[in-house]
Amino acid sequence: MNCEDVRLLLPNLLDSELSEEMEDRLRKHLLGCPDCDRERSTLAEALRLLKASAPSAEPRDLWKSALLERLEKTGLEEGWLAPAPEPVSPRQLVLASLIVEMKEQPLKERNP
Amino acid sequence: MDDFDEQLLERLKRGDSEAMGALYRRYADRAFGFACRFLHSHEDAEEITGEAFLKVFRFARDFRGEGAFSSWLFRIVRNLCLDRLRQPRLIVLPLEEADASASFTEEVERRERNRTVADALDSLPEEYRSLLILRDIEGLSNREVSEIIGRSEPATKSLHHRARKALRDRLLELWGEPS
Repeated sequence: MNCEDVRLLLPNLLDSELSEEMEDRLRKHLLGCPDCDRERSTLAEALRLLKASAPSAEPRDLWKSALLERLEKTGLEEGWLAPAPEPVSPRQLVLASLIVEMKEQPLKERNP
Repeated sequence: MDDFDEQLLERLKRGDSEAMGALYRRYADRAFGFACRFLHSHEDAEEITGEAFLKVFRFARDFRGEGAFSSWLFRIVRNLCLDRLRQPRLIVLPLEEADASASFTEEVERRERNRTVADALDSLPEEYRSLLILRDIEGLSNREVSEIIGRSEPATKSLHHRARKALRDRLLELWGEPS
């Protein structure tokens, strides 16, 4: 494995995408090649710094719920959201259960 | 496309507000995080995220599902961020939060280092910045990012590696070491 091959595979090494065998071969090369090893270590360090420097970017809970409400309101106004179904009254529930019961009960049993 | 996203999107196309809420909760934090890191401003990120969700939900019926829903959303966030950056604006300092456990000297050093990394990132071409934020900070897959930036997967992978090298070289320049 020469330096050119190693440098081609460095991104895969950084992302842990190599097979164990290939990783071993690469690491052996890096042990004996200060230039390639510097290439690896400086890239890894830049990546580490990038991740460590990323500011926390958590949205505020209040803002999140306000935005969801605004989206729902706009959706209803513009018609791409359907209005929520009306809540079912107890009377409607009783009627629905009677209908189901009648459908399930054979006619003979109801009119012997 | 992610099966669950696909189901939610189909329900949203029929006007189901619960499906819209579920999609929103799945992606609001990440969309906001991407915008925030791109623009260095919570206020701008809130505005852009709201605008992006409104666009995807409003046009959900026209989405043909050729790529991931998340890629579509992030592509819109990215385009809106780019539009925002083209507008004249006040200079915005990178977001910083104090680390309560660090000593004063450590805190100053940490801020200095983070500032340098933010400067290095900002000095890179926009496509490199998007790649580094989406892949290395937000943790999106190569496939998702390729759909967002409109390139093939191999091209995205190669660009991503170049972006990392460009960042490394810029950091070495800023810290006064030869690249």
